[in-house]
This record gives sequence, C-alpha cells and structure tokens, in this order.
Amino acid sequence: MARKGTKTTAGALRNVRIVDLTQIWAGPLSSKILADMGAEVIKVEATRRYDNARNYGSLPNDQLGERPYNRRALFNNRNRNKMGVTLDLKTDKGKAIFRDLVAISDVVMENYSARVMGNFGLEYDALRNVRPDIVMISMPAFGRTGPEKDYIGQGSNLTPLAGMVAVTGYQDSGPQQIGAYTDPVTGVSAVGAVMAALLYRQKTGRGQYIDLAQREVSARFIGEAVLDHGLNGRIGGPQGNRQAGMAPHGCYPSKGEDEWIAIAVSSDQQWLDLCSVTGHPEWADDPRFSISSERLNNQDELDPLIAGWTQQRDKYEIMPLLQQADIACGPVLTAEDLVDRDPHMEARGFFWKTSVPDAPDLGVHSIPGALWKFSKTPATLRSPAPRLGEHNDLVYGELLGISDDLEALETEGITGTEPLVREGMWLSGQP
Amino acid sequence: MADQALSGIRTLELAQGVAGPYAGNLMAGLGAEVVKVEPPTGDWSRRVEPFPGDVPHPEKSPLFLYLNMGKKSITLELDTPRGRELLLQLASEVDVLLEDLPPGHLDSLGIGYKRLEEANPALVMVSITPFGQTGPYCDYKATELVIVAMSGLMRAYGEPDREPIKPGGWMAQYHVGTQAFGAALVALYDSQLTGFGQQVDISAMEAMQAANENAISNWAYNYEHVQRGGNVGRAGGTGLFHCRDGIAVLDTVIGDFPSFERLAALTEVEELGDPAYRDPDYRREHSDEINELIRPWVESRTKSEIYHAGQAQRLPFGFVSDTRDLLESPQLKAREYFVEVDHPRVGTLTYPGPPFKMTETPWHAGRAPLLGEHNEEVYGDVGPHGR
Repeated sequence: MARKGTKTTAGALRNVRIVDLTQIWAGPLSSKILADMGAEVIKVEATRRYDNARNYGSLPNDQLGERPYNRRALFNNRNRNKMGVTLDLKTDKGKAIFRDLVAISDVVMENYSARVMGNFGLEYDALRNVRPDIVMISMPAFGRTGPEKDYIGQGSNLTPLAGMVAVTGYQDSGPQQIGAYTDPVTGVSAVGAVMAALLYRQKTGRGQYIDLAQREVSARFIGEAVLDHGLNGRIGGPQGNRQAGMAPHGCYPSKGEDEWIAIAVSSDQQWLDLCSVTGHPEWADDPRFSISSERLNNQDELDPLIAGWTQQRDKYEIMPLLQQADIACGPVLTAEDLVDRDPHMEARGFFWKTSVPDAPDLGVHSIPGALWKFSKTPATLRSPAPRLGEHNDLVYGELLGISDDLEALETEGITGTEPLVREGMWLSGQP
Repeated sequence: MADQALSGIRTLELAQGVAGPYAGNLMAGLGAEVVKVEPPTGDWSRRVEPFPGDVPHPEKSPLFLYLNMGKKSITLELDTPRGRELLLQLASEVDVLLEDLPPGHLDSLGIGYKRLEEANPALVMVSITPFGQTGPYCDYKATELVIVAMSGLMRAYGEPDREPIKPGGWMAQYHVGTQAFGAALVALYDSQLTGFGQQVDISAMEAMQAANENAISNWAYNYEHVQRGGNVGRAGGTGLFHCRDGIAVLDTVIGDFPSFERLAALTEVEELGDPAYRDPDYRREHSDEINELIRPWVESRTKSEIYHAGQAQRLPFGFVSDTRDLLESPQLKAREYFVEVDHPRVGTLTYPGPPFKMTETPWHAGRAPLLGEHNEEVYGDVGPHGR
C-alpha cells in the first residue's frame, strides 16, 4: 500500500508507524525507543486529557512560563522524536479520525486503565475491523484479565508487589523501596514485545494483541528466587550490597559529602592486587582475609578497613587505580557526574543536545541519547518533544488528507493546542 | 506447537551470566532456536549459589536453570584455531549472534563483526558489555554492583544517612538483557527487509539510563540533585508501613487530591479532612504527621487486608511481596503466570512464566540444557570443542 509519509528517516524502523496513546513513563519510554530507532510515532493526547507528565516534574529554573505543559523536563525528555496531536476520543468525529489513523498505521500502544479503550469503542477487536493486521499493545498494571485486573498500579506499589523490594535493603534493617522501578522495566520490555509481533506479522501478515502486565514482566527479574524456593525451600531477603562469593564487595565512602565508590573483588589474586595498590600489604598477610572463605566470613571487619582507605580519595581517582589491577570498581555517579563530568559518557557522545521551543529560558541542554549504538542505522535526534497538538495540521491535513475541517475541529474542541483544564492542582506550581 | 512469534529465527548465544542469557531466554520463549555456546567449564552462572544442600553442581544452579530455559547447549573452546573456525561456521548459519566478550576480543581472534558480516551479511550481532565497544572505560571490569553504581540509579536508593543500597539480585543485568532482546529484534526487522544486518553496541552504563531519565532530566532543567528518601513517603500517606504480618505500601494517585480524601476516609483519620490538606505542598510539609495519624489503622491490619481495602477505594495500595506471596497471589494464579517445567537433574520445578501474553502466538517454557547437551546434534560429524 502506497504510504504518504510525513517524515522520512533512515532508521531501522523507518517503515513503521505507531499510534501512541501511552502516558507518563512506561509507555512513552517504549515509544521513545521505537521513535529513536526511526519509527514514525504519532502521540495522541486530548486537550481535556493530555499526558499527565505535562503536569509535574522539573521546570526550567522552577518557572512555569507561558505554557508550562510544554516545559516539563520528564515529558520533554521522554517524548522527543514523536509527533503530537490532540483528539477528543469521546466524540464521534474524534473516534472516526482515530480509526483513520489506525488504518494507516502498524501499531497502537496504550496504557490506560482497563475499561478506557472499550469505553471509547476503540479496543482491539474494534480496531482490527479497521486494520486486520494491526499490532496493539496494552501495558496494564496487573493484566487485562484476573480478579485484580481493575486494580490501580503505579511504580510505587507495583515494584514491591513484583517482589523487587523484598530482596533489596540493608542486612540490618529490612526491605528498602527503590522507587518506580517497574516503569522503565515495562517500557523496555514493551519494545521487544512490539517487535516480536511485528516480526511475526512480517512473516505471516497477521497482527495481534499484546497484554503486557507490568507486575508480571517485572517479577521475572528475580526469577531465580522462585527457583531457590522450589529447589531449596528458601525465601531470600535483603543482602545489602554484599554478593555471595565476593569479598570485599560493597559501597564505600569516598572523599566528599555523600560520595561513594563501589568495589567488587572476585578472586584471591584481585585481593592481593588490591592490598598492593592501596599500599596495605599487611592486609594480605592477615589470616582473617587471606583466602576468600575467610574474607567472606570477616567482611564486617574488612569493610571498615577498606573504607578507611577510600574515604581519603576522590571516587574518580580510585576507579582507574583499581581497574588497572583488573578489579571491578566504579563510583556511585550523580546526574551531574554523568552529564557534565564523566569522560566516558563524553567520549561515547551519549547525551544529545537539544532546545525546547517553549523553554527559551532553558536554552540548549543535554538529554539522554540513544540507548544502543547501531552500526548502520544509528538512532538520531530528529525533533524535540511535541508541544500539545503541535502536529495536528501536519497529521490530519497532510497525512490523513482532511482539508476543510481542521479549523472546525479545533473550534469544536476535538483538537486544539491548549489544555481545557485550567484550575486546580493540575497547573499549580507543583514541581 | 502452534507457530510462535520468533519461530524460524536462529540465535547463537555466546554470552554468560545474566544480561546476554536473559536476552536469549526471551527469544527462546518466543520460539527462536537459541544455541548457547559455553566454554567447556560452562557458563559461570552454573557456579552461582545457592545450591540444593549447599553442594555446588553445574546443573543445579537456580540462576542458570531459570535464565537458560528453552535453549540448546554446545561447548566450544574459542581460543583455538578450530574453535574459531567452528564459530565462524555457526555464525554464518544464524540470524542473530548475542555476545558479551570483552571489546576487541573477537576481532583479535579474526572473527569480529567485519569477518562475520562477510560470511553472513544479514547477521545481526548484538554486543553486550558494561561500558561499550569504545571509550576510556571499554576495558574496565564491572559486576552488577558496579553497573548499578555507575548508572546513576544507586544514588537514589537507601537511607539518606547511610551508604546507598543496590537493588537485590541481578535486576540491572536483567534490564540490560531485556534491552538487548529488543535491540536484536529491531535490527532483525530491518535485516529481514534489506538483507543486511549490523552490529549493535550495547553498553550497560548507557542502557541503564532508561531507568535514570528522571534524575538526568531534573538536573538538566533545574540543577536538582537526587536525594535518598528511605522508606518514608514524602507526600503524606505514602511509603512503606509495618503492618500486622509484613510491610504494606500506601500511596495516592499521582496529582489527584480526591484520592487523598479517599485515603483519609479509609484510614478513619478525621483530622485529615481539614481543608488545609488539600494543598499538596502542605501535605508534603506535614507528611510525617500524616503518616503517624494513619499508622494505627495500618498496624492493626494484614498486608492483604490493606491491599484489597485500598484498591476497593481506588487507591494504589500494595505490599512487599516475597516469593511465597507471588506464588500464592490469586491474580497471578488466575493468569496462570507460573509454569511447571521438568528437568533431568532437578526434576519438576515452578518457574515464572511469560513476560507478556500475545493473542496469536504462545510462549513456550522449555528447560535449561545440560552442559554440552546438544554437541552431537549441532556439530554432527564435526565433533565438539573444536578438537
């Protein structure tokens, strides 16, 4: 089928068009990755219900500016390389336009709660009538089926419910939460799921629907604990920063306020070399530490000795010293380190430079670039994150060929470039 | 077996440990033929405890058994001329090569990407290393702890007055493996259309930036530093709370005041009906007080009661689940999430099931291979080990 493209890219996914209804983190991360790899991603929001990530997160110097919904750090980073349209899916006209978009697209992505797409009449079975080989993915917290399918999941409750918190924490004080860990896990997993479906479609011409439950995909990250339980009858708990079979192994203070260095010694030879490079040959002779079985048992005595040495030195000084001795070692890096200081990130050209039209006060700044380096079809930065409804004319006018109705659609509130919700906390100065 | 999403795709897995093998695990579950190339001593994950009875056994490591489900195993001594020849031959016949050797190692053996590409132009080669194929750290060593530290993520986890804490187990490398899986399929999609593959350079340090986006963005926009917050929620009525039989997780819906009202009503705390609490900034400033007020309600209930009562009020409650909680979860049971798989050395055990459900193409849970189990099948007359 001849395709009227709005952009041409040389990316690996240049022939893939995605209608993207996802919001916040997990979904937009996956469509970002696909967009970076060249897919044409059309992000569909509504003036009454736009991506909530436009409502919170850092603003340039804490300033709301004229259009704060186009100025949020998290939203802007996560939605580069996508086109943005607005469409009120509660209206018949909005639904009709959505179906027209689906008819010329390969993938539909959404992570609304259970009933939303069905309420719109735009669930998979309906969209399949429009385009039989469409690939559609949902990313529900708990799955589209089951007694808890309507339960609400955010990263904060999903991460513990997936089993990730039970195995994390200091050995003396129990589980520690690790934020919304399940969001990026879901996002990167969705990329593979969509690609698997596209490969199958490439082979057979058949699309399908993917139900990617955030808790299920995340629980697989600690699958060995399930095996440990079945095989050994054990329930694992937090191990702190320790690792079976390795000593010294942990996070040690380095010079400065709240600065740390991670060290992982995995052989007796590395231990000898560590004693040597730190200028402490007496540790090598100490029977508490000389062989690994002893070292493993005496870590409570060993760690303070290591810390005594590390805390006098800068984390970036310690790393190369130990790495020269083939010891795995690296600083606990901050965002500032990664963006502005680290020589490896600099040499790899990881961060892209961009500016955001509605944030002239921010100027040119760094955003994370390509997660992977493809030798022949590298990811590129084509455009910053879309302003709300920025590409309505381009997508509806050029791509769909709707010529006369564009202004009327905006007047009727079906499309638009400004939020219709103005009061309350949604546009407050909440950082 | 019904046709699977990746049926017909052949993958060679020249990787050990967690990241590369998890990518292979995902491909195998979706129907790809994944041949795992191990050194004669086996993947190092075969030596990772805990073993049954604490007796090390190369076929009984939980980590290996889980990560290598559904694959074939051959052994190969790569650092011999015959070994290199065999790898070249094997790589000529597959669609995807997953490898995690130190940067430049395959090149030094004369079987780097350029050589493999000559033999197999459509080959997708995914190279997974801690720091990538280039750059000042490319020869540096890393483990899970070091990867987490250098990703920037570790900065955010743990108590403010203590050392940062790493997420348990091998979660970062599972994450990198998941990305490698996605990247392989992206490159494969293109290769199938054009007939030309490519090399994909994955640096764990870079890949983990997918999980570190918020810290990076907040720094770039507003020079904000990440602060560790421990387990105490800072928005009032959020965070981890000890309850009768474990640890409950309370939260409100992001940016939604009515959900806080529902939480106040549920936890039977009249004071929280005061209009002052409407302001999220006020709630943030008084989060400790709010948490103290709800504590009695939480402490008198079980994690399951709290979870379901909260969810019934459309609140994103949860609890800290361990393996037993997951195995007993009515939701996971209804979803048939866990599967039973038999294995010649450890018998039938329960394994986590599919990462996602596809309507047309099923997931298949195969077992982990014995070391070199498929030498005869794969090498045939040629013989194993490159000898």
